[in-house]
Amino acid sequence: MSWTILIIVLVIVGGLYAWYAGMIGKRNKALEALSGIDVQLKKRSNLIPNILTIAQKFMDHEKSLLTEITELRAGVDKDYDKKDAGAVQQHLALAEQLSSGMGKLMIAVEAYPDLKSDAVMIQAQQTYNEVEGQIAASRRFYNSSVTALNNSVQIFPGSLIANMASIVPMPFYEADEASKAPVSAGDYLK
Amino acid sequence: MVDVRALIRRRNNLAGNFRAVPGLAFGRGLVPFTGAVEFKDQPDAPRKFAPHYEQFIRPRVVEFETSRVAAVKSSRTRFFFFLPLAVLVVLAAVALANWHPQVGLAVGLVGLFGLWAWVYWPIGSYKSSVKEIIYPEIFKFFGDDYVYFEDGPLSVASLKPSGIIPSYDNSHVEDYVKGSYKDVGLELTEAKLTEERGSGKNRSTVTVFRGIFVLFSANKNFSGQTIVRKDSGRIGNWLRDKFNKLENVALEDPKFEKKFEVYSDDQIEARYLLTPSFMERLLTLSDLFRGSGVQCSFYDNRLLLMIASTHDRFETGSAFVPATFVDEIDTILEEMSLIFQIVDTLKLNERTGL
Repeated sequence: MSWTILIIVLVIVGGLYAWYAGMIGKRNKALEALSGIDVQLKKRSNLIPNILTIAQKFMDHEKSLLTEITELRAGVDKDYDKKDAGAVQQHLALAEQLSSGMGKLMIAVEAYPDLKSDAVMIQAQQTYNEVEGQIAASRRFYNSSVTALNNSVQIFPGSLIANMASIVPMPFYEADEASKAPVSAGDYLK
Repeated sequence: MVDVRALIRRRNNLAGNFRAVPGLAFGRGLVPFTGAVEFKDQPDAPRKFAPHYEQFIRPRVVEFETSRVAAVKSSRTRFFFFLPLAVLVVLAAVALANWHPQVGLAVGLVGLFGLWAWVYWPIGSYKSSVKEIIYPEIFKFFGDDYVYFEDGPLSVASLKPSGIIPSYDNSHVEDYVKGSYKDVGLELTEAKLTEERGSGKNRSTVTVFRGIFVLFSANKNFSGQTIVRKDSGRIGNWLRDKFNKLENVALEDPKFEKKFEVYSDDQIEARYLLTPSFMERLLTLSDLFRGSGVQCSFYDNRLLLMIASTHDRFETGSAFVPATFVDEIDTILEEMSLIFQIVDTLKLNERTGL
């Protein structure tokens, strides 16, 4: 009888440990994916000053947009605690706002034929699109890793183990409200 | 120096074409052709084939028609010798079988096969010359950069780094085409891969792949390797995961996940290449080759597509119809249209990142 109880206890403890180990593995994967996003965000951040420098030469009526982008870029570049879900969420939200701001800038470029046809601007736009493609891919990897982590953290008995081990769900990298709204090209092509 | 591959190819042609028997027996195809020709141009083709035909193919028709008629006559004469000789071989085989059944069977099969090879040799040679001289002229229609070889330089071994080539012992490649479409470089070859399985009396040769390999230059830069394989079911995928050096990539599209399994050494790069739109396009491509398995690999800045098919592509037309090459041209126009559809479907020429 005592052997049976011992085996049952061992199986339960083994199972809980496996669950815990799996959870840590998933959290590390999500953190790795988050680092992947940051690498791409850094690439974009390095590219933005060049785009803004060219844009400022031609765009007289978009000063507020250019200032907003500069401020958002500084916010995204700030260090943050990767294990703090709130800080991660804020960081990703800023990155998404910057993305949205850059999107507006790229549409606004259409209204300036000289800027649109500038060779340096064309090259910068192509590189920017490439980096945006990489950010989108990093975001998909991150969201997929976060889904796996959050499922294991929030489903019983994962929720108990997560509480004991202080493992918290991580936020998704979601599109901001502004980019979900329909875009009116007319607003930018006045 | 003896071209061994050409000899093997010719032997394969000879062995395979017993459809020639009625033509040889009843003397079909001995009348030279002099009439007009029409082609099945693809509906979306930017230009018609007829002017190209008049400039590059028509001048060679008389020469090839003469050699075709000569080849058919020669094979026909040999065919009438074949009948009594075949009876003699069978009688010899039966006599030997009384002494040793296996020797009798071997002599009978080798004798008949050899005789048929002798009969078909003139037609086989004529068909080879069509592929050697006429095919490159036909492919020039798609662009000056197009080349065609019956035996191409693209070996299966060179494609192994792609990670999607199944384990094989012997490979046979034929019909190699190289060129470009909408600035996308492409190379394709037909291939058959076989593997020896079992041992002793249970040893057998199994075809592990038959179809085409199409290699495209990629419009995106990438450093890692990402492969898209046919889904093998839960157990098959699990086993594959265990023995794979690449990591499984779970993608969001359930329809795509049901049909394919993706493996990569870079999770982000895999998603950069396999965007939601590209996944949709791969599904469309898979429907285009209905019933065939489509697998692909992104490696060395190239995209390799492996399309399983039992259909023999780029084959020459019958030697018993006039040497106008209309059948060959129609087949090539149709096959290449399918290859171009791949570029269009996957939008390989665009750098949109979508």
